[in-house]
Amino acid sequence: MHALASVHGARRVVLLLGIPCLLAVTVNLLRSHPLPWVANRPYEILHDCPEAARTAGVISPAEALQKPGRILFVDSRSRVEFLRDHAEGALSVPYDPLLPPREQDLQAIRARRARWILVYGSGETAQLAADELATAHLTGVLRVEGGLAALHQAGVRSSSDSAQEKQR
Amino acid sequence: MNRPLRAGPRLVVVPMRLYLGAIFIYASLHKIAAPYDFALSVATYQILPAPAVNLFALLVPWIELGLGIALILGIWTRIASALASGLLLVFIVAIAIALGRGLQLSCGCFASQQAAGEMGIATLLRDVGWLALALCVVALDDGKYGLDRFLGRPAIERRAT
Repeated sequence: MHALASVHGARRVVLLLGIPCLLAVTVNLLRSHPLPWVANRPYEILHDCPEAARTAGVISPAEALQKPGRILFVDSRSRVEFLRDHAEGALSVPYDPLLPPREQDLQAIRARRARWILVYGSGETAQLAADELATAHLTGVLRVEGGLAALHQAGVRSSSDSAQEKQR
Repeated sequence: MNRPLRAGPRLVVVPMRLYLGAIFIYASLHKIAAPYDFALSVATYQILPAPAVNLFALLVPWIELGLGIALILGIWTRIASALASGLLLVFIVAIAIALGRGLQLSCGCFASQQAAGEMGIATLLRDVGWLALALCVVALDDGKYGLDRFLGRPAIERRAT
């Protein structure tokens, strides 16, 4: 008797699930743009923006130039801005608010074997870029106050200066 | 021996049943209207393997709709509420996993990821509450106040109660 009841129950379960599934298949077939049963490509899932766990210090351009040991300037502005003008010998590592620093950029910075990594850029992004580099376990990371203009005023040569000299 | 329940407790189940049915129907509508948005919501949980995401997104809203209609009209109410409980349990586990992983997303229950607010413990507790209601319907509904009364239960079930 219980077996008979469970057969009835099972039939109802099949109907309660089967009818909606049939409707789902039918309606999807009738859509002008049906959703494929298996996605053609993986869905783009947004992830949380990277948050820097360390805060880089701040230094004035004059103090930066007096630092003992090898110095590396890191330009956190966009690639276009970097190509227009940058501090001589600077490395371009454009800041991306959505992604952590690229491994190849970190390797390029490490390859310079600089004692001090001085990050400059425009506005708050320079600090955020410096914080990200400090979080990526680079040591001696500091943000230069005033950006490229302040560095030029302090006597740091710009890429355009050296290009003009070469033309002469 | 099962002692028959008085009309009171059985009658209480009716608003529970109607409420759950309305919730299920309402939850299914936007998913049926915008299956891609729901598929994106499902994918955002990062629980199902990629090939299963669209399948889930296409079938589950219609199952929700079917169960919602069955609960409101009182068709095979106990089985429908048992299936609704199972579905709610799946949602609860998914939400718990997402919260445990620290994912910041909307549950996708009633609106797309973009339109809905971020889910939290309150979302989980809400679903647990609905699961409790669904289990009450499973336990207490006797089919008197719905179409079950006219559809009739098999003789074997009638004799068992």
